[in-house]
Amino acid sequence: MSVRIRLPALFADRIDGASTVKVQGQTVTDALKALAKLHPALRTLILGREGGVNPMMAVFLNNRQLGSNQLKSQVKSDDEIEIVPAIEGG
Amino acid sequence: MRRESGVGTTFNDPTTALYNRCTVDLENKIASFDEIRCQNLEDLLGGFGRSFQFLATRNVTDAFSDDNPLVVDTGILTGSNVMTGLRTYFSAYSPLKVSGQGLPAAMWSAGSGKFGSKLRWAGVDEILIEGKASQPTLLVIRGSERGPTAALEPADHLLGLDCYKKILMLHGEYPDGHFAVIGPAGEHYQNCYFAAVALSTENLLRSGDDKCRWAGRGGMGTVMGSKNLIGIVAECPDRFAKLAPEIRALNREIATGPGSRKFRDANKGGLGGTWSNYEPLDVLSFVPQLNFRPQCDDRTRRMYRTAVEPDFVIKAESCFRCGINCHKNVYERRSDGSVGSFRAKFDYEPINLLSTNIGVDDPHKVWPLVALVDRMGMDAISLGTTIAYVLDYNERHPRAPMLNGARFGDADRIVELIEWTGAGRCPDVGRGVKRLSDSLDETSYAMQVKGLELPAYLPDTNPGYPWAVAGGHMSMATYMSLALDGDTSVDYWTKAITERGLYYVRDDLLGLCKFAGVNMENAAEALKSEIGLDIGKDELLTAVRRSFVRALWLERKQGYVRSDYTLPAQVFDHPNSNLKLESHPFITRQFFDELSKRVWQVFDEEIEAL
Repeated sequence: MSVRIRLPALFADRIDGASTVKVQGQTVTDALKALAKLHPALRTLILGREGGVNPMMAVFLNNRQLGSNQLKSQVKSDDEIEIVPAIEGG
Repeated sequence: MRRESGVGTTFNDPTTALYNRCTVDLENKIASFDEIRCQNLEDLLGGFGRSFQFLATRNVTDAFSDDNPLVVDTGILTGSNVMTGLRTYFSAYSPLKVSGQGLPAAMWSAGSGKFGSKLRWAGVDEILIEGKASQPTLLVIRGSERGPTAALEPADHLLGLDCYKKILMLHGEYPDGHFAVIGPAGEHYQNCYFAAVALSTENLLRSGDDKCRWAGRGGMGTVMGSKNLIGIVAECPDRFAKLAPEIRALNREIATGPGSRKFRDANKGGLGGTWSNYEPLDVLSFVPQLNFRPQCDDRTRRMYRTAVEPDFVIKAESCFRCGINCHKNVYERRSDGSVGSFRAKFDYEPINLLSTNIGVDDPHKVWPLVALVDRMGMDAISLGTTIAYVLDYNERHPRAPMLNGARFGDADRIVELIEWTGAGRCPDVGRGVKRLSDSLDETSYAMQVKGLELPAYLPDTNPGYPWAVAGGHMSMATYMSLALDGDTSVDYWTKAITERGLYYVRDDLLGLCKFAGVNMENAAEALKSEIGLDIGKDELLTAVRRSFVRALWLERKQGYVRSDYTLPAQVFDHPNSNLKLESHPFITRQFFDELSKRVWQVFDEEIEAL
């Protein structure tokens, strides 16, 4: 399935400003792994040490936050995923 | 701000742009307006990009001398239609942040609210405040059809009032105005070096609640107080330019997109603001406790939002025309569940540094501390971190404690310390943790870098702190890098500091709030559509970088040497074994020396080229 991943500046600034990327995947995790493969500069942000999604990131599917046990949710064509850091200051 | 006549329709040549400066000579009670030609792109963009160029022309050895100007600046997008274009910048040589040679460093501090917009709408881009008034003074700037005017009025009637009460009084006198004021702490500037500047919000004026925004860091309220300037009024009708479709689309992106998701509340698809940093940082045991020493216990959970919500009502509120609603305002929850009185605003920094980090973890005891610090007009970060040091010292010296003997968790005595400090009666705390720890010759656990107290992110996790040129986390975005990337190599950290983290200061030129999360493309588009400045991302990045490097050069001018760029010794000598990190401790002296060498290799070349 072709899905859109929207990225905050933390990610976009590492890949020359691209804030939306289209990838293929059957699940949310697949899509994020595809993003990491397409843009190795994002790998450590997207994937944790054990190869799953980085636990310091929050992931949203069609504007709904997914828990860590929901990252294997199936995606449909044109679904929209967002991945944002769970830590930001101010 | 305007283009010189007859030079086209864009600002693409910065030297054709003229900004409007109000110069105030407090001693002689003279205010004048001049149009100043921009020298370069940073001048045009504004914020510290402009103010630091001005500060560089002054030789200041004493932050309280008449030679130290206070520059009140806006960014090019302040007062524009771009959401969060609200920022005002206060810049001066800081009484708090000093080099090893004792010279004050240039600092800026930024705040939102509506003061900055009113200032721009009144036709003023910058206020340059010189000298010292002989009596407590209020600066009143008014916009009119014939241009701005400035007057100096007596301010005796404001003395002693809490910040928000000063604002409410001024609101009665200047109903179409917004305000920048100091609190009792700034009035007692000689003994409180971290007094903040409080900025009014529409929410405050409407509700009567203490809902200021803050230009907190570096003692800019102290500088204002040293000049006997109690407040500034910017009064004029609201002015809204026509909203371009590109900006409408950008604002929708800001309000609903990934950039601001962290700061929005759950009902807007967000993560709940900076308060929600507690949970992910706790997974790694990175939450500061007991003077920046995580204990790996469950006491941190008592300040999670989920723990606080049963007893309080939490509302997400906002600055003027902002759709992010990042303010998490805590109200009394009455027995019938209805909303009672406003208590305090809970952001991660003030609540951690006035709760978990000082051993107070009952929210019913925390909100009064946060509220008290705000009322008295102090920077919660500097105050909280200095108090944590006092408590730590007293734990280590139970037979000879200092001050009132307060220890971790001792809320009543901590309240006393805060009240004394805000009233100018406790210079030991009020002059900051560097001076205090130096006087006691116990510096290893004083959480400061270059004289400025650390925010609520462990120095054990952030070797980027020494290269922050203003606030430790808001001028160098490496405070979250370890938690997010997990990389502890020198290569990674060199790049994190020299190629990524420093660009966090971009919005401190533009006038935007960092919580908008505007990426570089959108920032360039905003400048083009809203201002007529078509510069592209690369040119913007270059101007930001040049401004940052200039700030480093200014530190050098004020006597900062390599040995000033370090971390508290405890990080190297007594690392906390509770941090959940495979390669901890990674910040050894050897690591830091190598990192320092590589970082300076990059920055030295750029400083030379300035």
